[in-house]
Amino acid sequence: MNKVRFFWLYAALAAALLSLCCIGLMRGSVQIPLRDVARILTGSFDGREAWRHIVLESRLPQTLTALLAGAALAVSGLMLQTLFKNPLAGPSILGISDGANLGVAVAMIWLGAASYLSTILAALIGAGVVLLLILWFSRRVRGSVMLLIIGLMLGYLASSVISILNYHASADKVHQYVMWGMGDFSGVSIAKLPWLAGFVLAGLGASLLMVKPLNALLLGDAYAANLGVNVRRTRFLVLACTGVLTAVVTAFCGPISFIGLVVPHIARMLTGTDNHRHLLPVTLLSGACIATLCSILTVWPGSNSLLPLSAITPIIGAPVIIYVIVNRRNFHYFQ
Amino acid sequence: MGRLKTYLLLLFLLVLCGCGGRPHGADPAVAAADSLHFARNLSIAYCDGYTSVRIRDPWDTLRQRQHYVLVDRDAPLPADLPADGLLIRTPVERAVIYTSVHTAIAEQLGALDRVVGVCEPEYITSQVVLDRIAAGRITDVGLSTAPNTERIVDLGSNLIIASPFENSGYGSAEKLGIPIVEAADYMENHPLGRTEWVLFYGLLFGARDEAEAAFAQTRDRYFALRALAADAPRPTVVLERKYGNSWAVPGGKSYIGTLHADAGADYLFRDVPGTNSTHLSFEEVYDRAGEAEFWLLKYGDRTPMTYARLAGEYDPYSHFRAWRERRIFACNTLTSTYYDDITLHPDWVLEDLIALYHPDLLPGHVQRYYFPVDE
Amino acid sequence: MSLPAAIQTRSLSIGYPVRGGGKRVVHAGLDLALEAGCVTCLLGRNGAGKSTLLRTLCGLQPPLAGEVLLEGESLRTLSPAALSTRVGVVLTVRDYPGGITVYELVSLGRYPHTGFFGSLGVADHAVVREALGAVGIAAKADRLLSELSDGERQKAYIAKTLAQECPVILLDEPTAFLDVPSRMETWETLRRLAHGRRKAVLLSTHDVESAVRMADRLWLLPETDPEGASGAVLCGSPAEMAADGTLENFFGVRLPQGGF
Repeated sequence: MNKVRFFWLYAALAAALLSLCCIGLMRGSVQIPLRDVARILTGSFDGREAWRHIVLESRLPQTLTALLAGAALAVSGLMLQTLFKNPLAGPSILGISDGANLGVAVAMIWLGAASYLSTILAALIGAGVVLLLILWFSRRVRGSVMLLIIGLMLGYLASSVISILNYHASADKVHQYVMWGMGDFSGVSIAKLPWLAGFVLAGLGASLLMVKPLNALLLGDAYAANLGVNVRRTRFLVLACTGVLTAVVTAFCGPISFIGLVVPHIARMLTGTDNHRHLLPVTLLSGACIATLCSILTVWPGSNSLLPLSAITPIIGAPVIIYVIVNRRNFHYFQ
Repeated sequence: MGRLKTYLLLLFLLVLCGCGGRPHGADPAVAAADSLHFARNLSIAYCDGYTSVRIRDPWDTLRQRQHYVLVDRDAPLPADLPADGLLIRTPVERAVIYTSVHTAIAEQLGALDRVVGVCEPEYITSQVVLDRIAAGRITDVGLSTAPNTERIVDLGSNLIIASPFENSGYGSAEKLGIPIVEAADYMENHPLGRTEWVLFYGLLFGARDEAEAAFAQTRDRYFALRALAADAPRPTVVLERKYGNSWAVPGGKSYIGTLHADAGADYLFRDVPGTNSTHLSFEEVYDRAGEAEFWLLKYGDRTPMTYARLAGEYDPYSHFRAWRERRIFACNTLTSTYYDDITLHPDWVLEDLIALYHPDLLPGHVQRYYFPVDE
Repeated sequence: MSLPAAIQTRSLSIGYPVRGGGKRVVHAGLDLALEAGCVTCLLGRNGAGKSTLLRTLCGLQPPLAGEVLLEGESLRTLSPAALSTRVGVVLTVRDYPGGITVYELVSLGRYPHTGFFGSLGVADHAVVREALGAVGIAAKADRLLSELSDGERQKAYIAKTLAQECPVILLDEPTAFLDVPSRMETWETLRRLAHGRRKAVLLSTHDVESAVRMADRLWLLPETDPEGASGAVLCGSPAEMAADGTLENFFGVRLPQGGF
């Protein structure tokens, strides 16, 4: 792919993202005429106060949250797939989101604390503990495959503790936890959005700075070391970056599956390359687009009742993965 | 094309068979004898020498879920006993009750002596029951979702009262040979319908008179209160709040919806179909009910709800008129006896609501369940 | 033909840590000198420690004892960045990223010389093109790695090492999975690099016949016996070793005369 085609790809992705954001603002369970939405956004609206609040305080933050979360999860997935040289790696593979789930389960079921703030804190603490464990192990374990297995095992451990908690819990507490587990882009209000945005943008910025070592890692640890890359430190930084991105998104939005796993493959199909110089930004933009689309689809066209996010991401994600696997031979990055 | 038609025909026939296999409605003879007026899923028929109790499946109202035949313990078994019924000799003597609500009912009927086991005592608020548990007269048999069946057998219990869930059984308890009474009263949509089930429990515990008296009292009070509020101007009301990505809005014909309508309020979502809650988006609820005069919600937390906490949970709540004018009332289900009381005493809850909506109608009423939210 | 040693070892001990905290010494007391301008070939049986030696010489594995000097500087004191401009490696190409082009692969070789984001300048592009030409793969520069044959991929990896502009190139069994024509091409390329550009080239191989014919110097690595003792590494030119029977003794078979 040459420069001109990349330019058009970026332009197309930006246009898609902008359109999806507009749809997210214009479409919802409540019918608000387009003209009014435009007026609300430009500040020249003097109709129903309720509509202004709906657009600016419900639809806008939901769209922005989806955008940020999608970018964060997609980039995390890409970095993990490169680090572990595993096309099926995703943000959930290291057990960090399971750690967040465990934190929330402990808070909701055991401690009975279900307020907004306590849920976020609990998720961050749970994810943070698992992340620290992974980082600690990364200094002690030589091979990446071993680290991957450790991450998987930590995830299973967390899940088993959650099972025990659920088993002994009353029906409404379990229900509360299950609701959290369905994922939600609408829970972040405008006031809280800067926190999410700050962490996500910092994490994304850090990831863009790691394009060079990530490319070197494509060749494997030995070659990367020979090119001057400090493999241990790079591994640490990648884990820390993806860990923070995953932890923050899970804390604010609940566990969100598939996006981190699937979007890097979509990006590879679009760019036709493994080179992170363009793969990473394309992944970022594609993740934002896909997540915004999922957020729009929670109000399924034609009906007014809501669907949980955890039902929609697989509808988009599973066909893509199956397509990629079936067409392996045509996809060069699978050799 | 021919094959396709054959398959479609087969499919159609299968569907027909599936439909035809279930009994339609209750036995007409029994329906005529049904003595209940409000409970829709329960029917009690007093026959010669036995009482026939039928429970309709709340999730598939064409089906009968259970048929219990109650025969007095001291009386002989009548010859014409229905063969399809589960025989229960009354009054039961060693009952295990899974749910705290029904334990409270047993207490109200004065039948605690007949109760030997309960589940999850941490949810029981009655001191009398807790004392009995402490004294060993009532045993804790574990979780309601997975009770300790050995202990149940060990207690020599001869009846289990449990709440049914759709498509779920009772696990190993079903193999014990002990009759399980499916207390589906929580699925009743009318408040008095739920209360009317107490007649069934009264029959089980040999407290028929107490049960009828309790029900009559509740019914009369309920109607009186309803009549009181019937002509007052109706304030607009929005209920519950957003959880996850949706706001679970109770339907107009649901238990809650009926209660608030009877309390003389204009429940803004009474046109939502169905008897359960529907998941609507925040913006839809806000659009229709943002200007509601009253906002009532339930929560279960050790710390009291405050306006600040509510806004902290989701900032746009603060745009609701009820939030701005400080007319939000909340019931803390952890600290109040709401769930214990509501089955036998919906009139108490109705009273609370009327006092909120029409303070002038019940001067001097002290709130029991719903309190103003703190700053 | 001899220049100051590109790599010199002093009492080098190579091996690896084993379970229980101990160390397995594969070879001890190695005093070797790798010279620039010639192709040195490392021969030995399987398990003799060829890979271990190569990995120790390029810094991928720490020595158990002794020193490795790169143009006079100790390996221990060199940072990874500095090391990357001194020694380039080519390992057996088993696992490769199929989705990058040959040009991108060779460009990766410039990473020790580029800035933070790894962007290539005009000079860098020139080096890349030159490296592609030197190994003879310029025509396939825009193909994806997955589209090449094994031999072509090997060339691409050698080109990458060339683009790194290192005075020393170490190759671990570079001809292992290649067919005969590709093997010949690889040898030719290596000889051109060593003789034409004064690189110090060290490669390990099982192909004794080609080694004896094509290498300028041989290092014969004996096996370690079960007690951990090993014989000395034998160094010399193939002609010398053939003439004085060292080769025959080492391999235990009579090698055909002539052809040197």
